[in-house]
Amino acid sequence: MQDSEEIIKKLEKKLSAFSVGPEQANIGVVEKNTDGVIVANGLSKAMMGEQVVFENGARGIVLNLDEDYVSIILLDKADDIQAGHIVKTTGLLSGIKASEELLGRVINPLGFPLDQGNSIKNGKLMPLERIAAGVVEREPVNTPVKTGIKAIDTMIPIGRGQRELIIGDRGIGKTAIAVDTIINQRVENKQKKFKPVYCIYVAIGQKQSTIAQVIDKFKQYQAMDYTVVVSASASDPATLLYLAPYAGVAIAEYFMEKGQDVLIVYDDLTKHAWAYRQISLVLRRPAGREAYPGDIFYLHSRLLERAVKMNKANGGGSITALPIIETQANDLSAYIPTNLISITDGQIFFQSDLFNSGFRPAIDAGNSVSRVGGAAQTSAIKSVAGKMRLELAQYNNLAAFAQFGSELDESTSKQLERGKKTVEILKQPQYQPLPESLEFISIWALTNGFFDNIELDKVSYLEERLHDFMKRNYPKILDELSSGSKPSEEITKKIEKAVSEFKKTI
Amino acid sequence: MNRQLLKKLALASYTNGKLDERKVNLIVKYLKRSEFKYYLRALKNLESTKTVYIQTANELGTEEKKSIKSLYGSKNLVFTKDRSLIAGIRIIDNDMIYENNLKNNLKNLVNAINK
Repeated sequence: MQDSEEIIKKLEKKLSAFSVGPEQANIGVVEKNTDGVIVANGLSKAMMGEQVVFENGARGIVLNLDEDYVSIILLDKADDIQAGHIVKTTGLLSGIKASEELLGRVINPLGFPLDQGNSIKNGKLMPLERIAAGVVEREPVNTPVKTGIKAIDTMIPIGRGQRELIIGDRGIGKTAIAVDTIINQRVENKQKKFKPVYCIYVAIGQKQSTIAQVIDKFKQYQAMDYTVVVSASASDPATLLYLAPYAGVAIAEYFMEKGQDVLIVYDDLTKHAWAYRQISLVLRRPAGREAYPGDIFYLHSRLLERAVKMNKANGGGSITALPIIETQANDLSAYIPTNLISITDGQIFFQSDLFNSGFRPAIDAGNSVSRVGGAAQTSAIKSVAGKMRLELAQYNNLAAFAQFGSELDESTSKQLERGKKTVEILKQPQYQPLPESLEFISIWALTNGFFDNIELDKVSYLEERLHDFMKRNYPKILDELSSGSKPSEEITKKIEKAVSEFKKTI
Repeated sequence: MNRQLLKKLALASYTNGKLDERKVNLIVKYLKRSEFKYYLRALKNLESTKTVYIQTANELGTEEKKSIKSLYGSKNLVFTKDRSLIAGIRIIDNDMIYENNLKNNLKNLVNAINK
């Protein structure tokens, strides 16, 4: 119970900030309401992107300024707005209140909680639309974001401040990769090797059930402690879907300005493009290719340009973006996928054929690249990954030939065998991200021929046992490996000894 | 007829700052339905820029009315009494609204406390 004095004090505090005086506002009169777009007369002083309030309390955003009228898109469901209603400007551009309080919360793009928690009242107001940091404030990507997924950390490394596109057909594990990466940050944050990574998961136009599942997984793996979920589901108005990624990045910028590292996942931008197409069509903007408006490229480029690695003078924070795009029938040449591929610093391409043949995560190593992540890879992983990648590429080439069934010489068949093992090692179950030291052990054992004489179907089982063996008997080696520096000859010898010891136990 | 021309016509419908009924009747005869609609809207817009509505809680004295008139020069002033304001004044000038009345202050007070 609060006592009366406390209540009075609170009221006094609130009232001290309140001042009485004359007020002016710019008003307009609603002319028509069609498909969630309100056309209003007046509002001669309205700004582009300004928030307006209707007399029934509903809010909207100005998206078109014409000679005689303005077009407003609604943020709330408000079917009862009629011609003749008064609409007022607020002088505010859309923004969201961001603070540490948001960690562990599920909110909508306007900052309203969706998780039955308290409403979010405190925090710094961050603008949804902002010009990205300039060249002078940035520095090259130099620190890794560990995904805990062997295939990505070794072949397509992601650095802090990078934009890496996750692209592929529906239902073949794109979200799984993003979720695994967020879950893996718990282990990474505990190690304290690098700064902790805060995560923001932006769900755009997904089923509520899917979003609930993802949140449930975050909770199960205690990932919510450092994660904010921004959700605009399929049942929300297109306006919210359009604003969701900007709300996410605005929250990310709050943490980044404090010098923190942030990972943001946009799941997915295809639906974001659809929502923007819908808004543009009802606003009667001219339609271009696939009926998308002319500024669809700018829509995504200005969003992803806000992914950044700041230099030390500017706090040293970073925002790493993992946008997700859904393709139709593996078609990379559609409009939105090509746009996003050209905007981002690389892509992780998912193949449905690989997925169906049991290779999961179904990453197509040939079509996937990371244009800047290499600089961020730790030298430990770098020392083994190069060889593995080469072997895999050779295998993929040879495998095509070997299908004809002709006789192969010894070295070729050896290469084929090694390739098969590589593919097998790169398989990884969902929700089981690995720490860097164990990733290193797996790849080292593979490239040094440890798995050569082992049957294919036993590889993953033995890999797991090798991990257990190392954790139990040689925790010191793992400790040294997790420092990230290139292992010295002494350690390499120790690993060799340990692995051969393990081999004897089989 | 294009919109620019219709706007010009609307402007031309005034004589000495007042809407001229004779001119309007003459113009309307020659307009198609869609043009008439736009012409009417243009007239409405012009009318609203030339009229200022002044709402007060109590009837104003002649001196007060005079001082307000001097602020708005050639514009038409419409004075109305609105008891719901409780005390003070509200001025609606085209799409600008100026509030200095108790009703609005109380509304803001409630908002400030609820925040």
